[in-house]
Amino acid sequence: MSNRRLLIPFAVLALAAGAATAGPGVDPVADGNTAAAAGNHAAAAIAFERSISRDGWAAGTLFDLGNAYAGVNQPGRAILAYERALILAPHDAAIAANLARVRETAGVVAPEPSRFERAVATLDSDEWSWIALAGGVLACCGLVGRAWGYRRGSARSALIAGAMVVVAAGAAAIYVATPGDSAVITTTEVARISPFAQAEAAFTAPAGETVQIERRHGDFVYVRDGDRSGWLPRTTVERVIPHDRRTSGA
Amino acid sequence: MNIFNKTIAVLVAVAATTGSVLAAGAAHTARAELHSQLAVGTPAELAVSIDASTATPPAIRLDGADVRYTGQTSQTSIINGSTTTQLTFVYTVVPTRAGALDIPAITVTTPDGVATTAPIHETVAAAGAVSPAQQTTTSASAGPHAFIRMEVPSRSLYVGQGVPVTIRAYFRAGTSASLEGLPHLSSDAFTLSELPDKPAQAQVELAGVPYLMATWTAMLSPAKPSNGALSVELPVEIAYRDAPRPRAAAPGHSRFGDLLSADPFASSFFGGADPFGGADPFGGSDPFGDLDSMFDVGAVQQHDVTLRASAGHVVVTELPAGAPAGFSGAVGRFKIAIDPPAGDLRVGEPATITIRATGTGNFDRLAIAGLPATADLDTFAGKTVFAAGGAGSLTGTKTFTQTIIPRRAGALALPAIALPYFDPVKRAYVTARTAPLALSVAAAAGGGATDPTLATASVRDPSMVANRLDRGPTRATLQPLYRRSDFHALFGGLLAVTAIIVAIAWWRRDPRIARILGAHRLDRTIAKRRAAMDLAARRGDASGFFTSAREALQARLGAIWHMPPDAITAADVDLRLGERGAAIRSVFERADRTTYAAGLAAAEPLEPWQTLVRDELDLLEVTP
Repeated sequence: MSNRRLLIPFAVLALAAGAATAGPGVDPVADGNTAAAAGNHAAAAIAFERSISRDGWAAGTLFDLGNAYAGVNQPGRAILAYERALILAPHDAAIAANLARVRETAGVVAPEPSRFERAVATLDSDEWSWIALAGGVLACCGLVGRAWGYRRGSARSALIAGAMVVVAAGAAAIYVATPGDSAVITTTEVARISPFAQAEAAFTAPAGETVQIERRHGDFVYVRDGDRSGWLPRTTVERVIPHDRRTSGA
Repeated sequence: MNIFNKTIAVLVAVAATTGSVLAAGAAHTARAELHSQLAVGTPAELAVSIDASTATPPAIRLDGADVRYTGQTSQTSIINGSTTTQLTFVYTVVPTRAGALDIPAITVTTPDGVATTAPIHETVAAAGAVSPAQQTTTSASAGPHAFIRMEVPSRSLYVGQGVPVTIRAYFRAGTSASLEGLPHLSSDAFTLSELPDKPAQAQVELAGVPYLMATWTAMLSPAKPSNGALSVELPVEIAYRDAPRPRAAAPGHSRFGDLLSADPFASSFFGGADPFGGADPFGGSDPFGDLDSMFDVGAVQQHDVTLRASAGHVVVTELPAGAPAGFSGAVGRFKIAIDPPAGDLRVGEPATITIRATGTGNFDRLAIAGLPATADLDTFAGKTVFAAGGAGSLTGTKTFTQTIIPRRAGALALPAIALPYFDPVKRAYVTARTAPLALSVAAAAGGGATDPTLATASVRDPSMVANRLDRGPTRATLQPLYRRSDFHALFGGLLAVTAIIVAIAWWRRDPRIARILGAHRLDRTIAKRRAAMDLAARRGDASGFFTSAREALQARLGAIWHMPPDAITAADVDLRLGERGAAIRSVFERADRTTYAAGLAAAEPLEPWQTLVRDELDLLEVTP
């Protein structure tokens, strides 16, 4: 009985916190879709961002968020949302189509994947990871069988096959996954040769361009865009995979 | 100069003449320079130069000054195989009244046409305002063998201003010179920059005397206000051969020398000067000099000297107060222009404008602010590049590129860009401006507006896939599985369990471990048998008792003899233990008997046997 009494204040606090994060509507995704249907893409973007902040990443929400940003002509943020949606749903044709459309409109060219890359990408990184884990189980069984002298021939085969699966599938999982340093330019900005605002310009980084963040200094990040590199303000670059769920910026 | 050098000079002159003929029709350039500060009654030098090998000295008459033609010098330069010849006509100008003195454009006539100099406007000071020592460029010479001159275009300068200066060192033919350093100024109120390490060299004749001329062209910049003489110094090591001794005084002189010294026409023919003496027209390097040296005539003199020359009195003043906003210290004369961005402007798309400043002056102090950011325009500073228009950095073009990004569609007016500078000719600040630009900005390709406040009116590309109502499963992180800690824990747990199982297997294979484990297993077996034996004894089950007793003893003996326990019989006990195994053998026999004839031992008490078996087991464990 005393335990139940202790739980009551926590339940009240949890309900209050839920009401605070819920915002104006009960379901921010529904609010966002309503706003988008009315043509108010800015309000839709805010609602979808609130949904992600409250409930976590979802491919559908990210797709709608990309559409909303495309509607307010922010191709950088739209491409970022689509890229994130593709991480959760890598084989979703609608996400890929809208991403390609926004990239084309923004004048951002994505490299065409090779035949090998397309073949490896038939499975996403998580699927390759599970296969690698299964290979690990097989290899462990083989190792145990060898150690205990149980069906030594079969145990040896299982050990070798499992190890090969772990290596191959693990490499594929890493290859297919979005690199941790991959980032998208959210706002067109001039990259500079040094990390301060008055430094000489190196190149202009267009919104939506995918770059690699190599290091950070103060409020600037050093990015590499193909053969070009330079320092950009941290607020104009956002990692495709943030360090935690709601980390913003680089 | 020996015959060989003269031949080379002649060939060079011929080549230069040929080049001039080939370049007939090309325009010549002429310039006039005053090399002294002007004062009434004080002579000053006016040099009129033209890049031609042949020209007629122009007649110059000035209102307010007497002009007298002094002579001419020629200079031939061969740089990278290209030959240029410059003629300089020297005049002496003596002002007759104070005030402004205008030297009009001077026309120089050449076989190929005419060339005209730029007019000169100078101010003549009152008589006595300038001391004679400051009037003309002076030089400290090393006798007749070397001297230096410095030409400064103006005697009135401003702090920060940059002017070109020319420093010329002259070395008489036949004099060997080695530079011990670069020319430097004697005053710290000026800086001399862009001084080349190696001077341009040319053969010139001054008053008929051949000289090797080394020329440095540099930029002179006053660093602080000053009022005094400006001097330049050049450390050199020179070596030359003394003039040959007079033939008449030399013992064993030649008959040829006697003839010359005694020639009654020699003096009149050479104008009263001994052609082989110290003041001969060949400057001690007469055509027979080499012949003299063959007979060891004249000792070689070597000296370390510092050539000095004064460019005259130079007044440096601070820039006047009242500099306009944005003035960065540029002194000179500049123009500024802007190039509109190439292509169509579109909302959100970067474009580049180019701003060019051209002219003459200290470009290193020239800064272009560019366009400021406005509500309609984002601007980003770009790259600044300077391209020199000549040998130095005083003339050229400074190009500033700026990236702009329109924020709104429609008409976009780019304001005029100002470039304030100080004009030393006008002695005033001047602001050059570009013309304002009127541009048209198209809407963004997506059809929307960048400003989020206008987003309600935006339209998305209709070809895009519409929103979906199903959000799908949610995840707390976008990190791929292989980077997540829970997956690492899963994989790690699998490896840990496997490692433990494998370790156990390996542990069991160790002989010591196996012995210990075998001992434990034996103890457990014997304990079980003893428990069964005790239970059978309590129940009075002789068959069960002896069977368990035999199994316990077999287990112990099997471990001792490394035999399978089941294979141990009473005969083995008798064979291996002899009399010491009599009790054990009797237990084995009793067990066989009760197994095959259960009724024989039914009435026999089991307690003594129980004690006997325990004692034997304990004995075997202690002394196997």
